[in-house]
Amino acid sequence: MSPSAEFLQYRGDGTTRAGRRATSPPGEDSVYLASPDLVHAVNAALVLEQPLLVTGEAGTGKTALAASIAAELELGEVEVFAVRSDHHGRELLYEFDNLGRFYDAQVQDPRARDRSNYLHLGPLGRAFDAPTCQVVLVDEIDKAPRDFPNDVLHALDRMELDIPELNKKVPARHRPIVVITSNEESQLPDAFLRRCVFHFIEAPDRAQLARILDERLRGIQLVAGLGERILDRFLELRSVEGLLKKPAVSELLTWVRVLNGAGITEDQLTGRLGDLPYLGTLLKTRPDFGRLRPDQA
Amino acid sequence: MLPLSDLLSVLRERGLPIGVHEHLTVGRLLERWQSVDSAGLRAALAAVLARNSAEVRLVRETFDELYGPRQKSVRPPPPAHLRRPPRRRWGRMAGLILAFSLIANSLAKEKLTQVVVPQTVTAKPAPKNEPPDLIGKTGPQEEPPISETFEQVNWKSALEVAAGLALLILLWLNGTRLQREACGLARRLWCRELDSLPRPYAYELTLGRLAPAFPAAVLDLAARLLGRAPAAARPDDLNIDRSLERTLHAGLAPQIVFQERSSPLELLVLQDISGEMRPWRRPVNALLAGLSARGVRLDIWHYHADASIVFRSPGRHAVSLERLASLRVGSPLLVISTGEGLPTGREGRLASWIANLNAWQSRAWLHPVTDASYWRPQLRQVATKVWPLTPGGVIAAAHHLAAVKASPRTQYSVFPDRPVVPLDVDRMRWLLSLAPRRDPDLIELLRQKFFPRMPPAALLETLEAAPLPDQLGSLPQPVEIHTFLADLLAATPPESGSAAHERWLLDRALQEVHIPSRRDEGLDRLQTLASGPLVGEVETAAGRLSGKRLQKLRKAIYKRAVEDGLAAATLKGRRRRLRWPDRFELSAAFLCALLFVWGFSRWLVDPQAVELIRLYNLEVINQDGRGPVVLRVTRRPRAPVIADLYRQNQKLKSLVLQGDFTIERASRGNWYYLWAWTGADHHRLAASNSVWVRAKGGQVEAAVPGGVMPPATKPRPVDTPSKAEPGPTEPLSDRNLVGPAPVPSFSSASSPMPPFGTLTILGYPEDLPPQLLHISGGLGMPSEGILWNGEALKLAPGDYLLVVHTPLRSLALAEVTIQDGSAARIKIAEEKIGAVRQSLVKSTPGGTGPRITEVTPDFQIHMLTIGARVAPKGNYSIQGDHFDASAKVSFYPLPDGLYLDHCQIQPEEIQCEFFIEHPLPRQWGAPDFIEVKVVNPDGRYAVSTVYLGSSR
Repeated sequence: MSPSAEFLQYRGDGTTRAGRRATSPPGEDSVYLASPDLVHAVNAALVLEQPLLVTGEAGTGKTALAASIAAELELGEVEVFAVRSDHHGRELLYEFDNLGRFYDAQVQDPRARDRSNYLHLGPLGRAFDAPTCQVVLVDEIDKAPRDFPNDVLHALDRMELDIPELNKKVPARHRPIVVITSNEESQLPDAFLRRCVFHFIEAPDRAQLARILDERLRGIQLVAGLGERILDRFLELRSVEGLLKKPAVSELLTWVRVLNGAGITEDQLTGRLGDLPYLGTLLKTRPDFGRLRPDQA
Repeated sequence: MLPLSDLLSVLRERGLPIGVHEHLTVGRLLERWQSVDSAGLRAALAAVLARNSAEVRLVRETFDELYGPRQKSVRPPPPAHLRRPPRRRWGRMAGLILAFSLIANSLAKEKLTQVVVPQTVTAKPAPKNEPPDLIGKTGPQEEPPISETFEQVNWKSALEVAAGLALLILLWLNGTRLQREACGLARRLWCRELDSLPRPYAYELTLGRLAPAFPAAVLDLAARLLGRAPAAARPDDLNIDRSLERTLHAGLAPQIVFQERSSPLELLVLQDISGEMRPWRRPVNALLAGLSARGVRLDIWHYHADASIVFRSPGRHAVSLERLASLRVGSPLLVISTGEGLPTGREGRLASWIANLNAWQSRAWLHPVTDASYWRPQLRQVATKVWPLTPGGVIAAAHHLAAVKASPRTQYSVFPDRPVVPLDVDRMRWLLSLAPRRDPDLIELLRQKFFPRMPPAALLETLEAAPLPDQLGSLPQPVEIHTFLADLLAATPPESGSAAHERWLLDRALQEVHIPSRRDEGLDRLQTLASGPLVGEVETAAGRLSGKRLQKLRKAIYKRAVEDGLAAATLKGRRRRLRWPDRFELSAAFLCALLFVWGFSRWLVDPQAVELIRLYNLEVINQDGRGPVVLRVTRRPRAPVIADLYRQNQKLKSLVLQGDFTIERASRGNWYYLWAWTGADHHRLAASNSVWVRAKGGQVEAAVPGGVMPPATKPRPVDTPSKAEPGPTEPLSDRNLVGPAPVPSFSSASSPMPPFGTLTILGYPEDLPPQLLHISGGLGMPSEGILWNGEALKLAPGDYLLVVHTPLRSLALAEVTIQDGSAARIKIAEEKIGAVRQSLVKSTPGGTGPRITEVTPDFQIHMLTIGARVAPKGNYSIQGDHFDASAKVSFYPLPDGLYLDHCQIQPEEIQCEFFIEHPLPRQWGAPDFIEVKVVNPDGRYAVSTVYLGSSR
């Protein structure tokens, strides 16, 4: 399925509409490879002009997806808003520095006369004001207070920047492409979920992992057979029951880089899972270590 | 109907919060997207409708249920001769296996029933030239034969075959699954490849030769009637008659009167855009466009079957019909619909929104199906006049809306000349089977070209399967139609390099392969396309090709398509690997194996020897007296209580033998005997001796001495008792046989029967019946496996070699010569069996070697007492001195007929009593020992072996 001509189309294969390589993040020499289901979900969000809510295990590429969309669709840099638990929805649009203005007024700074000098646009506000369509990443929305998601949707519905401090309303020039990530640590409001296009990024299978390794580790020449062994051991490790944090793609990439740098051979990857070299790049919690190395627990 | 409303309603039933927002979202999604493959639509719908991963799965599963592969019917149904054999034949195969099993089971039952029941052979009737009483006077008839064998299911073979069958089925199902998975993956990859081709994905046919749906004159007339037509009066046209009249009336003062300007009517159109209306889109659009082009102001609203909600265009603002009525009540209303939304509910009640149509004073309904017999009966209840969408119907509706009386001289009839007949339907289906796609306009073009007199309403039936062309009477040659379609396709090439172009090439090639002059070109094109992203569609299309010359190509294309597709998908290595069978495959294999065992196992039978045991004694009383002859039956212990009484070869009745049993009034001149199967395995036959009840005045003896029936199917020599002296006996030569004792011989000179002698074998002890293992020589002799109960064996004169086996495992060989009338008697030598003993072998894990302990065998009283000191103090290396009283003792194997009665376990001694149902039959290869295992509660144990015969 693909969107009709008047809508942008995301391909998920790391190429732009002109056929160039869409490296993400910019500056790196690798591209983001999306699964077909993820591609369809992104395209659904594009044609429906709805935010795309992406969930999945940590390290499966939720955040990198926004950069991939921006790179493939040639929409410039991503406006990132990393959510904290004390954020409010308005901060996604703008912040008004009342305190700065008060200070400037105290010091007789002429800038204080113009209140617009103290307006700082947030990521969504900048996207509204941008001359072209922008990608806005709202990262880890599950950390935000409960009202935050609905504030985001409210702003997107109105498609305008309402600044009561300046007593003006600025209509959005373009509807931004909003990518929202969540680790599902808290339940999001139903109304918010209904108005988002949802996608859960599954852990990639072996073939997809091989493709990702080929793409992301272009500069690394692995010894023949080592890559296969690494994938075997990695998938074996993921299949261990009871791990609190299963290693994901990002951990795999790090592990491969470390193994390559340390000159680990294929033979050194045999034996128990607990004896794998540089296991710390894959496992991040002490209970997980204890599970694989009961003698050291 | 809203788009995908069935999917959304099912999802709502399954708990998803589907509301108006979701309906509109899905509608918007479908409006803005072009569908290329269902997988993409499935993923996009899941992303739009779901809120978590569980709901994603639910949406995908529901989508598969509703729009899965089994509901795909994009292509027209091919005629029967083009149909591919169905791929999934496992259901049919399972049915066949079940049917075969049922038949085999019933046949096997019958077969086994015939085998198990003793086969009584009817005695030959007496020759007609002989007097009937001659038989009774000259001697007894032949004894009825008994089947030597019975057939027993060979469970080992049956299970082996069933396991092999299950394995084959597993492999077959697994291979099928692998092929299905591989093809599925390949198809997805083909779709992806196809998706990567430039747009457009489908090509449009230019049907320039299609006749207009309505003649221009009809549209002109309708438009004029509706108030705005090119021929309508212009505002500056003079009304000459009125002008003259006014001028005259005004005293010749010039008065100018213009023609009255017709007031334009804004026609409100309610256009149904439900699925049923899709085939009629062209004439409806032609009508509306024609009216609009002629100046008729149209206010068009759409609805999906149910007009309670109408909208300008899908996805746009919707209003209720009631609200529309309040806004546009002054306009005449034209409804164009098949009335799909008229019936509601299961009872087919008239929809409530119909009542809202009455708000319009002037209203008309146009039905696109021109044959009124296809109209819904609910249309009769609508208070609106309905006309078919024919030229005459349009004009009539225009007259009605403009409140102008119709001219009776109109040249257009409202309904077509004739209704749709079954032949039209068949022809339409046939046309559809030839067309490259299910396009209503294309079918209409074919109809106009090849069957112009056929009513267009026949298109309604195109959803059904196409019949065979030869049933359709005179039809145009398919080549002509294929040529027409190929030319039509060739005239409208899409943009080169696009996916539509590939599909266009495929459709064109599929038409050309049916045209003899272009066949080679079409085949080459098909082969070329089979190497591209359309390989899946080529495979499907090639599967429908038929004809001898196309068979090879079809196979080649299919093979190449699969190979190329799979090679492109890098599946070559994967598809051949066996996967672990899933639950379905295991269940199917197990079920088939079970069915096989149930149905066919009875055919895998082995003949088993029938063992005859004499457990009844039949005695004739008062044979020579005047009164009735009485038969007295004596039943030995453990013999079956119920036995069948036979006279000659026919079963008389079943007897319950309690105590001394007599049979009164036995008829003379007949053989009598009893038999009964012992146990459930039907291999032991408890039988009586057979007795001959002499006819009155007959010359023969009443009873045959010692006549247990040997199991032979051949007629045996007729027993002719004689009062003559016994003949000379022959000496025995074996070491184990005592030499022949002189017994009185009897003469058979006066007997009319063939010559014979008798042989008596005595066992040791004498009550213990020996087994005649082998006898060779003579004629008509049984071979082996005969239990001998000490009765005299009737043998024809000759030299015989005997091999006799006693229950105590002592073999005896003897040569004996039987003469006519002789009565030989051989006895197993006592001194050779003096060493009869049971051996007790004792072993422990440490292994101290065997030790033989004498025990007392006692078979004669049908009771065996094994007294074994299992753990004599200090003699063996068993840890610990004594067995506890709570030790457990087990025996293995227990020979058939030998049962453990009870065991008395004491320290240092175990006494067990066995119960013997009857004398134990001994056969070669049968276990002749019992392994006794005693286990102490503390885990120590001892194993002893007690032989049931003499020491080896």
